Amino acid sequence: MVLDRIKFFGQRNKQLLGMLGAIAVMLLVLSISVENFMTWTNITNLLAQVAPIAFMATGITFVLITKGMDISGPAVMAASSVIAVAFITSFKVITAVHLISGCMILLLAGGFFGFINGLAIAKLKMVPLVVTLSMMTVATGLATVLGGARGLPTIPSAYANFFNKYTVIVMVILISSALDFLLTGTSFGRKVYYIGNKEETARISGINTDNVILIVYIICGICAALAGIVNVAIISTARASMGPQSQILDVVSAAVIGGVSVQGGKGRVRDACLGAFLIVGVNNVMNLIGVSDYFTTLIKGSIIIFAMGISSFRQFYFSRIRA
Amino acid sequence: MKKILLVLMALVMTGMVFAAGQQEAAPVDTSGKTVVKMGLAMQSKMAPAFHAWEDYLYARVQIEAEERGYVVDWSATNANGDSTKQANDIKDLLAKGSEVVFVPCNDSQAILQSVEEVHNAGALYVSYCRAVSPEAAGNQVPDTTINFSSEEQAYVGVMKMFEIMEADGIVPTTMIDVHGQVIDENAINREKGLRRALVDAGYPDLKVVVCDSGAWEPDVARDSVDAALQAHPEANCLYTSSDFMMPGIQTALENNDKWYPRGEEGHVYIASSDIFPIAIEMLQAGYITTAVDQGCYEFAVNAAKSAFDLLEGKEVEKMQLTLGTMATVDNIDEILADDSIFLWGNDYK
Repeated sequence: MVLDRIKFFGQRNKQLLGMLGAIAVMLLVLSISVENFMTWTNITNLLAQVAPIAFMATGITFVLITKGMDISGPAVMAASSVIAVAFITSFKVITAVHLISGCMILLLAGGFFGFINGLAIAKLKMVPLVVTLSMMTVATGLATVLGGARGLPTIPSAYANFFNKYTVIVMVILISSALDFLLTGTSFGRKVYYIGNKEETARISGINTDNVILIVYIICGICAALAGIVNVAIISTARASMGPQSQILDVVSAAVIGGVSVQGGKGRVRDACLGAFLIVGVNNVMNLIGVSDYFTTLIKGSIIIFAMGISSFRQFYFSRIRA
Repeated sequence: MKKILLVLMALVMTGMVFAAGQQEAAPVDTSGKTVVKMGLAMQSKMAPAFHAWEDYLYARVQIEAEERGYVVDWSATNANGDSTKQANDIKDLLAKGSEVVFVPCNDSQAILQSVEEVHNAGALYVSYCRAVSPEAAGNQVPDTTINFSSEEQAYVGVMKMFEIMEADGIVPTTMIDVHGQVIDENAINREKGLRRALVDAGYPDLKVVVCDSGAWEPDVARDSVDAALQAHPEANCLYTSSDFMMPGIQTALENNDKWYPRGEEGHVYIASSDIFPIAIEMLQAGYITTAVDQGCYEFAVNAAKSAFDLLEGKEVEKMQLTLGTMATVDNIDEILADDSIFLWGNDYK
C-alpha cells in the first residue's frame, strides 16, 4: 500500500525527483570538496541570490507553457525598479509609507509592461519575440532616461533591512508555491496548459485564449517586478544596468533545466525555481573556488547546451517510444 | 530515464567545476605561514586596463605577502558591468572568508551598501582604481582608496596640449569633450580637471561641446563626436576622458576629414587620459598630442602594501592618489626608450 503510494508519487513527480536528485548530488559533492560552501552564510546568500532569477523563471514558465516567449524580463525588472526608486527618492523625507508605495508602484509598473506585451501578442497577434524584444529596448531606454545622468540616489537602509536575505528566501518560497498552485491546481492553470498544447482546440472548446495569454504576460511582468524588489534591496537604488540583456539566458535556462518545454504545454514553476538554483549555484561555487570568470561563462554555457540537449533528446526518445 | 540524465548532469557540472578549479585554485600553505584570504571584485574586464588592474594587483599581493611572511588565498570575480552582480560577488567573497576585499566599483553610489556589508563582516574594504561616492558616511567609507589622481590627470594633459598648440601658433576655436561614464567618479573628476585647465590656460570662454560615450563605449563616442563635428566643423582640439575610446573618435574625425597628424592641415589636437596601447601608437604617429598614464602598476603597489598594513593594524592614508607619467607627441619615443619609466600600455600591446 505504502509502496504503491510512493510509486504513484514518483511517477507523478519524476521531474521534481530528478531535480532534487541532481541538486542533492551537487550539494553533497560540493559540501565535501569546497571550503565554506556548506556554511549558513553561504547557503542563505546563495538562496537569496537565486531569488531574482527564480522570480523571472517563474514568470517565463507561464509564458513558455503557452508556447510564447518573453525576453524583456530583465529590462522590465530594471525599468520598474528605476520608476519605483525615482518615485521614492522624489520625496525630501522618505518614510515607510513612501517605501511601501514604491513597492506597489514597482509591481504595477511590471504588470503594466506585461500588459502591453500581452495586448500586442494576444489581441494584435504580433510575434512574441519581436514584441518582447521591442519592449526590452523601450524599457531599457526608459530606465536610462529616468535614471538621469548621475543615476538615482540611494534609498533608506530600512528597505534593505526589511528585504534582507531571509525575507527574500521566504518570499521566493511563498510566491513560487502560490504560482505553482495557480498553474497546477486551478482551472486557469489548466487553460494555460491546454493553450500550450493545442491553442486552436482550446479556443474552439470555449476558452478565451486571448485573455488567458494576456494574463500570462501580466504575471510574467509582475514576476520581473518581484525580481526588481529584491535587486533594489541589494544595491539600495536602481540602475538601467541592473538587468543586463544576457540575464535572459539564465532565466530561460533555469526554466528549461527545470523541464519547462519551449514547445509549450509542459513544465512547473517549482521545477523552474530549482533550475534557477542550479544556474545561480554555478556562479556561487566558482566564486568560492576562485575560478576565473572565463571558466564560469564557459561552464555555464556548456550546462545550458547540455540541458537543452537533454530536453531535445527526451522529446525524441519519448516520441519514438510512443510511435 | 529523466532522473538518470539529471543526476548525470549534476555530476558533469560538478566535474566541470572541479576541472576548472584545478587550474586556478589558490595555493595552500604548508610552511606554517599565515594564510590570508583576499578577494578582488572586478566591475568588468571589457578593457585591457581592467586586466592590468587585476594582473598587477595579483602580482604585487604575492610579492608583498612573500616579503611579510604570508600566503595569500586569492579569489577574483567579474561583475560584467552589473552593479547587482558585483554586490552579490562581494557577498560570495565574504562568505569565503576574505579578510580584504579590493573593489573597483561599477557604480559609486550603488556600492555603498556593499562597503557597509564588508565592514559589518569584519573585513577590510580597499577601494581600488575607482572611488566610491563622496556621499559615503560612517561605515560606508572605505578603509582606503587607491586611485589615480583623475582630476590632475586631465588638468596636466590639457594644459600641456594648449602649450603645444601655442608653440605651433594655433589658437583653440572650439573644443570637443568626450565624457566618460557619468556615474564614474573618475570621469567626473576628469571633467573638473578639464574645466580648471581651461581657466588656468586662459581659455575660460572657449566653446566646449560635451559628447556622451555611454559607459566608456567607443561606438557611442563615435556617434556623438560625429554629430558634434557636423555641428561644429571649426573644432580644432579635443579632450577624451579615456583614449580607450580613440577608435571611435578616429572614425568620427575621419568621417569629417579631420584625421591628420600634427603638422598637416586639418589636424585636431588631442589630449587624452589613460594611455591605452592604441594611444602609444597614436602618440608616435602624431595624432594624439598629450596623454597621461593611469599609473596602474603604482596602484597595485600601493593597494597591496596598504592591505597588509591595514591587516597588521597599521595606519594608512584614507586617500592615496597617483599621477601617472605624461607623454607627449614630442617625447613618447624617449619615454619608451627609458627603462625607468613605466607605461602599462606597453605591457598590453
